[in-house]
This record gives sequence, C-alpha cells and structure tokens, in this order.
Amino acid sequence: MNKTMASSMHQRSRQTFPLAIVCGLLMTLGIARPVSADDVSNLIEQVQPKMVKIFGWGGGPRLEDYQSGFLVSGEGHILTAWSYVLDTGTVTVHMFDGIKYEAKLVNIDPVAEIAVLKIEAGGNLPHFALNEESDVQPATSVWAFSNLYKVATGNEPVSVQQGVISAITNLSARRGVFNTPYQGRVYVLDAVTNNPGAAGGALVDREGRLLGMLGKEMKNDRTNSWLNYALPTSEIHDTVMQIIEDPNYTPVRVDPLAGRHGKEGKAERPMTLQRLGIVVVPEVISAATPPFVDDIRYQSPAEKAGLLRDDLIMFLNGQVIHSCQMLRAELEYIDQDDAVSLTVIRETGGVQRIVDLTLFPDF
Amino acid sequence: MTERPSLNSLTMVLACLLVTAVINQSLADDNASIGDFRSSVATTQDVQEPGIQQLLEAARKAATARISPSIVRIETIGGLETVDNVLIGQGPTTGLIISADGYIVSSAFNFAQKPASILIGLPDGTRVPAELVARDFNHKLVLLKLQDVPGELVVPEVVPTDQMRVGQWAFALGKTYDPIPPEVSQPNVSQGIISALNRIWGRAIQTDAKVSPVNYGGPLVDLHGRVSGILAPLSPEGGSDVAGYQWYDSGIGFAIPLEHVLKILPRWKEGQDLHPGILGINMRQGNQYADAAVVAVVRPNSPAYKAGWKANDKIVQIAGKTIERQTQVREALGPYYAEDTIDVVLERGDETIKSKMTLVQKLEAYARPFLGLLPQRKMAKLSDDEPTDSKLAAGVNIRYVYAESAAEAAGLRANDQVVSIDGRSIADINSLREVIAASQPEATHLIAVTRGEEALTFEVELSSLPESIPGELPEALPARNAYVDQQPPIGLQHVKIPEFENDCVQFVPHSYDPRVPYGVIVYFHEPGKLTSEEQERALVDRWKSICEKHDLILLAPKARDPVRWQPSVDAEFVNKVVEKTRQDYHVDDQRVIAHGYKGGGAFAYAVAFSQRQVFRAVVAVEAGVAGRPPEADPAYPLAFFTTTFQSATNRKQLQQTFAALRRLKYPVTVVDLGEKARYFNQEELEQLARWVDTLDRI
Repeated sequence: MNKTMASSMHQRSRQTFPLAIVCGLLMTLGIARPVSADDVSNLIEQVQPKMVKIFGWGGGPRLEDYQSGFLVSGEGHILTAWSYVLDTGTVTVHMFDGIKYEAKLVNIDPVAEIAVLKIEAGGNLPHFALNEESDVQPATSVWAFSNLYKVATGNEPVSVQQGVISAITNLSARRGVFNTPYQGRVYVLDAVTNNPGAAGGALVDREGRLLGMLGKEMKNDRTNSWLNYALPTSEIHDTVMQIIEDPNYTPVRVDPLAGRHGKEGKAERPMTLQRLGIVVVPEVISAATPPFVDDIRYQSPAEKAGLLRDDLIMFLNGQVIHSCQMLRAELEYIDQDDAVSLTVIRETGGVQRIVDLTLFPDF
Repeated sequence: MTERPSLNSLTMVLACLLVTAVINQSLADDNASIGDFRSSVATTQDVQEPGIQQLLEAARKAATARISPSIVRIETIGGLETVDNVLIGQGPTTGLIISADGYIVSSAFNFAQKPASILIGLPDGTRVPAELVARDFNHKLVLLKLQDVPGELVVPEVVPTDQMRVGQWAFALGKTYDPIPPEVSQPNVSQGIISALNRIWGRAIQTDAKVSPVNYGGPLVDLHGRVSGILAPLSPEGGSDVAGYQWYDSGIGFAIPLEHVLKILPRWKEGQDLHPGILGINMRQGNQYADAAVVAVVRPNSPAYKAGWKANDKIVQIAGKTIERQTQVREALGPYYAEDTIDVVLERGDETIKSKMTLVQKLEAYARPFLGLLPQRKMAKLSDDEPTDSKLAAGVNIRYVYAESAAEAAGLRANDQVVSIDGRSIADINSLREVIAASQPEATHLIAVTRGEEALTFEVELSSLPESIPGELPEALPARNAYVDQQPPIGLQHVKIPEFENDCVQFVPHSYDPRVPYGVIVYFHEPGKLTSEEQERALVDRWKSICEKHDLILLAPKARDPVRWQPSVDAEFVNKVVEKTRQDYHVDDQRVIAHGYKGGGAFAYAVAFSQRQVFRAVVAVEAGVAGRPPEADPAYPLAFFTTTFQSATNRKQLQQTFAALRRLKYPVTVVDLGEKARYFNQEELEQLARWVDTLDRI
C-alpha cells in the first residue's frame, strides 16, 4: 500500500471515532449528555486558533510548497520545521481566521531542524505555552494538528488526527536506519501523521497541552517503512525560548559526530579486526555470513580479553551485528585506540551462553 | 437426508433478536469495562466526570502494563534476506511468551532464512539465547525456545475465539524500539478495533490498529490485556513470508488467534514444521463465489482419492461447517494442516457419504493422461433453425488417432464415434476431455464407439501426452460452404483498449467463418522490434497464409515501453486484448497460445503462468523459462514448444529448465534450429501451426 492511500484510509477511520464512543457510552453507562464529544470538541476549539498554514518555496508533486506551524508567543512567533519551504524571501502564513501575513525567518536550529518565524499581527495572539508538557507515556492519547496535503486553505481549520503515543525512543541508536541530523528523543505515534505538509504541526494531549512538533517525512531505511513521530517539546523548548528572546542567538549543540570523527561520523583512524586480533569466518554470502570467530591472534587484545574460536559476535558496543560485513563496517566508526565491548554467544556442550568482553587495543 | 421442518416466522425473528442481543452484549461488555476504569482515573477537575478519552487511556495503559511482562524483543544474527525488495531478518522483532517452560511464538517475517543465532531480550532486560523449534507455513509463524529459563515467565491470558466480536477495542503491541537508557525496552502500542474475524480463508483476525515490522510477532490484546492473536503480515493471495507487508500501517492488519496457536503447540513443540493441508481435488469451473462445491477432478493418490471421492460428488460439510459455495471449502480448510484428519460430508446423487480424511502437504505432480486422439471439431450453430448434423450430434467423432497411442493400441480408428466411457454416455468433446483428465496414466477404461452400423467396445490403457509433432492431419471440420452473412472485421486491424496507450496488431483470416472455432496466437514481439508499419506488415505477411490455412487469429500486442516487456504494466493490456477477441470472434479455448521471441518469449512464459485459465500453450523462441512454473493443473492444461541452438551459450541452462518443466509433468516439445539463433522460417512456422492444431487432443 502506498503512503497516500494509507493516510487517506486513516482519515476515514478516524471520522467515525467520536460517534462510536458516544453511542457506546449512551448505551452502556446510561450517560445522557455527550460528555466525550464535548471533551474533544473543546480541545479542538482551543487548539485550532493557534495553528497556522505556511506557504513558501517549492511546487510539484515531490516538492510541496507548504507546511504546518503554530504560534508560540502572543507577539507572533511561529514554530515550524526547518525545510526548503522556508528557503525563500517570501513566506506566507495563513492564520486560523484566514488573514494572511508575510512572515520573517527569525532563526533556525539546523540539528533539530526547527525554525522560528515571526509575523507582525499585534499582541495577544492565542498561542501554545512551551513549558506545559504533561506526563507522556506509551499509550497516552494524542491529537495531531497539521495541514497535511494542503487540505485546508484560507480560513479552513487544519486537519486533526487522533492516535496514541506508540513508543518513546532515541533516533540515534541505529546507524543507517534514519537519515537525520537530529539524534535525540522522539515520540513515535500510531496515527499516520507522516504526510506531505504535516511537518511543523502540533501534537497535543487531552487537555490541549503541546507535547511536541510533528517531524518531517522520514523513512526507516532498513524496513523501508515510514516513521510517524514528533519532536518532544522538552527537547526544543530551550532553543526556541532563546531564539524568541535573542534573535541573534546561535543554537549551540554538541555535534555527536564531532571530535575524532570525520565525514559521515567515521573514525579518521578506524579500528580493524586485525588490530583486535580477530579472524572471522570467510564470507560466503556477503550480507548473511554470521560473524563467527574463526581464529585469534597470539597475544592480541582479543586473546587477552578471553575471546575464543567459534564464538559468535552478537553485539559491538551495544549495536547488534548481523554479519561479518556489518562487523567490519561498524568498526570504521570506532577509533583505533578506543576500547571495544563485545557480547558473544559461546556454545559449550550443546548449551549456549552469553559472554560480555572488553578488548583494549595495544598502544 | 431427512426433510427439515420449516421454521415459522416468529421463531426466525426471535432467533435474529437473540443473535443481535448476544453481539450487543459483547460490545457492551467492552464499553462497560472502560467504565470500570472510572474509579482509577484521577481527574484534574474533581467536579467533572472523567471523559471517555480519559477512561480509554487508563484502560489502554492498564492493558499494556498487564501484557508487557509476556512480550519479548528478539535479535537475530545471520539469515538476512531481501524478499520483494524488503530487507528482512535485520530485526529486532517481537515475540510472545506462550508457556512457562520457555516457548515463544513470533511472526515468520524476520525468519525467512534460519538465523545463526537468536537472542531473546526478556521483559527485565535479561538476554537469553533461543533456538528455532519449528515453523507454521500455514499461518506464517515460528516457534522459538529459550535455551534456559532464568526466572519465572509470565504466560498471558487468552481471549477465547468465541468471545471475540467485531468492534471490540484491540491494541497491537511490539517491542522493537530502542529503549532510552537506563530503561529496558517498553512495548510500543497502537490502538484500534477488531475489524473482522475469520479473514485470510478462516485463519486470521483483522484489526485497524497499525500493524507493521515494529510489532509483527507481538500480541493483539483486548481491553483487559488478554491476547487475541499474534500479529503477522498476511495476504489473502498467500505468497512469500513478506506478502501483506505492503499493507503495513494502513489500518488493515492481521493476527493469528492465540487460541489456535495453543491448540497446535503440542505438535509444534516436537519440532515439526506445519504446512497447509491439501485435499487433492479440483472443483468444477465457474463462479467460485456462487457455485456449489462440485468435484471435477480427484487427483490420483490424494487424500480425496484414497477416501474414494469421485467426479461430480458435492461437498456439503467440512469439519462441521456447512458448505454451500466453492469459496467456503477454502475457508473451512484454511486453519487445517497437512496430517490433520477432518470429517467431510459429500452428496453423490441421492446418497450422503461421510468420509474421514488425512490432509497432505503436497500432491504428486499431476500427469495428464492421454487417450491418443484428436476430436472432429464442431461447427457452431448460429441459430436454432439450422439442421443438426446427426453424425456430430452426440458423442465425439474421432478425427485422428495418434500413432503408438493408447487409442491405437486398443484398436480405435479415425471416424469412430465415441459414445460412452465406462458405461457413462459422452455428450460432447468437453465431457470426454473431463473424464480423461480426471483419470491417470496407465488407468484402464472401457470405451464404446459406433463404427458405421457397428457398436464396438474397447479396453484402453491411458498413456502420457506426446512431445512429438504429427505429420499431415486430416481436416478438423467437415467440409463447409463459404460463409456469406454479416461478418465482424477481418484482415489486419489495430485493437485499442480504453485507458491503454499502446495498441495491438490483429490479423483475422479473410475466410473467417463465425461457425468455426479459431485458435489464437498471441505473439509478443522482440523488444524494440514492432515499432514501424513495415515491421507490422512483415509480421502479418509471415503469418497470413498460416492463419488462413489453420483457422488461426494472430494478435500482436505492443509493449507500452516498446523496448521492454513489463509484466506489471503489460499483462493487463494483454488480458484485455485477448478477452476482447474472445468476445468479438469464435475462439477455441483449447488453442490460445502465448508466443514470443527473445524478450517476448520470456514474457510469454510469465503471462501464461499467471493466466492459466486463458493460455493453453507457450511457444518461446530463444528464451528461457521466466519465473517459477506453476504446478500442472487438471483444469488448465499447458504445453510447451521451445527451441535450442547449437551455439547458444546458455544451452545447458535451457535444457535444465526444460527438465524442470518435465519434472512437473508438462509436455515439452523442443525443436533444434541448427547452429545459429534465429526465428522460425516458413516451414517451421507451418510445423508450429500443425502442433497448435493438436492442442485439443484428448
């Protein structure tokens, strides 16, 4: 199923959601007034005036010229995703009531890929507070507001999707899975929010409190599936507040790849199997040969650490290793002077055991 | 069967009400359960009742917390494979603990190849190696076993299948996202409802919760945290381990009922792979959604054969389920495995037959039996006013008897009129063909014929299909007068199909006669070689006289991209062109041929393999077999006509693919065209046309 179909199906199924609940409640709990519908409609009434539709550079099917954003100050600061859409002199913002403003780009955080825009619309605009985050856990109900597929124009409110927090995870942990400069905490959602134009949308809880900003379209390269996620407010709060206070502020972020690592995060002087004294089995099929230890060099770091022949290397510095090829590739990210931790599976007398080892390279 | 008293209408109404009440009660239970969470919800405003959202969230979190100790994270090493452009086996993936002694069930999605090692991350973060015990190929699941059980395992509660109702809340859980240290892996959650039951031919629960690689192998749980099923990518068409993956996150997800998994667990624990179970029959062709389950062919040595089933038996019950339509047979058999024993009730005439049978994993390759004759074809009557030729009215008139065939050995001769077989009278060519197809090589039958005034009976021992091409054949039809009435278009034309840019060159003989059945040659051009009018004319010139002489229609569809054939794009166009030709002209179903040269030959194989009901033969010149040949099917015969060259570099490889086809018991006629690769010359085309003329052989 392609992504477009998936998201449109999603839309359809959600339309019937509140109705089903109301009927269920009336039938079983005997509640006469539609409490639940009010719950959600209040929430939506409260959030919609804070949402904006953003139009900028782009055009054509694969290069949408629109995205979503929301007000984060009464003076007209708008938080959105940093993208090529904003890479133009004229960014137009459509407010909830249909009034259009030219927006000025205040500043960006290139790592978190967020941008703050400003419109001159007087004071006292309805906006989200950035310090209200509630207790978010897997299974928490959430609502996502965004102008996906540019469905809303003029004074039409943006689209609302309902879902739950599916998981809270770090994007960084698996190299080569997600192609993104941001490597921090994200909320993974079970609603299909990963749609053109949705980036910069708002994720709120039952009380209408801002939980996060919908991320850009992102694919898990290993499973070839799309990720639906939001950047938690707590991860971007400080940067956004600083930008609002001081337009000349330069976001300071520790580049996780800085230091002894060069291009693409690879070590300039990478670790090798030879340096560790490990010989793995010959590769029969490049992507599928499991990393069994075939031999260990005399007096090598591997021997000193207690690695044995026929051990199967399962984790390297906490990263699961599927094949000899992947083992070699992952070593390129480790400096040749750094200690290496290995988790291996060792079979003795028909029983498998897990053994953790640390290998210290010789100087 | 005894006659059933008819229900009076009041009873019917009451029954309906009762059913409705039961269903409503079940959904009501579901919602009442949400209400139970009222006391556990801490509201921010004390005066207000908690809203449904708040109650539901509390219920969802409680259900998640309850099932979490039974969900494990699985890492595998080795066994990576790319299937349908998806790299699978790279995990992590999810599993569910199903017994206290360390058995874990998961989806086969991440186990396409047997991994070198499997590591289970238990809910407390402990890692334990595990082994793959067995697979369930019918439900795309795997069974794993922990090598040692470090502590007490939490076995989840099961939702009994009869308590499941469409509309109940359902949560899909996995454990694949990396935890944020120092936490251990928490389950990921998606919310939805049960969308349908008994999907994928009676095998699966359908849900609109988001199902994808992040939760394949994990549980689908109810509002109470009890397990309804194991999430797995499934597709109604079956297919590979990753079929159904394309529906990830779409709101169309599937789970195999846990109750079923526990039922098979004792067998599965023994390390036995479980396969879908096969009966060994073909049902009568028609509308599978409407027609009764009438047996057309009982495959030799199959479970049905051993149980004594016969053609024309009607299946009325399988494993306690009433069968009224053909699709219900598939649904009823869906959950069963090879070696399962099931009860089946048949109707044979007025008789009701109960049979018990043990299903099998695989049938012997179907070898089509051959009597050894060509039937005299019949002229279609265009109106009821026409006189019927008494000689051709009933039975089958023999046009030609194959040398060294069963028919010849028994003494049958051309012009004999076959009237019955084993005492059953033969109405027409198709009924004789059906009876022979349902038999097997070396089986003996009594065939009664009339020869002039004489009535004779012969015992024949059937053989297998020939691969040689007979010499000159007698006329297939009685002498005919030129047909002068209104004609559909004849000669060279271009067929267009709405919505398709490409067209199809068509040649219909100038002698076209709507009473005569015509064979159809669908010719797939060499890529890039049917783009100009000259090429079209040259093609038609080559075939013209052959079409006129042998009653053939030529179709030459053009690939949408003229330089290559793309099955995903061009196959549909081909189907529509053939279908249109069948509507506009009198086509003989037994003689529709997919023919191609070079790249077109490979496409001919692909089209014929996927459109079994349309194509009866593949004629491929300078092309290898493309794709995996399907099993031979009694209802849809398929014959092959191929070529070799002395200088072909892939000669050996070609011979191997021919051998593979012959192992599946297909007749493969191979023509050696000498030293160099080339297309047929006129004489060889003539030979090919003669072979096509024999495809209605019996």
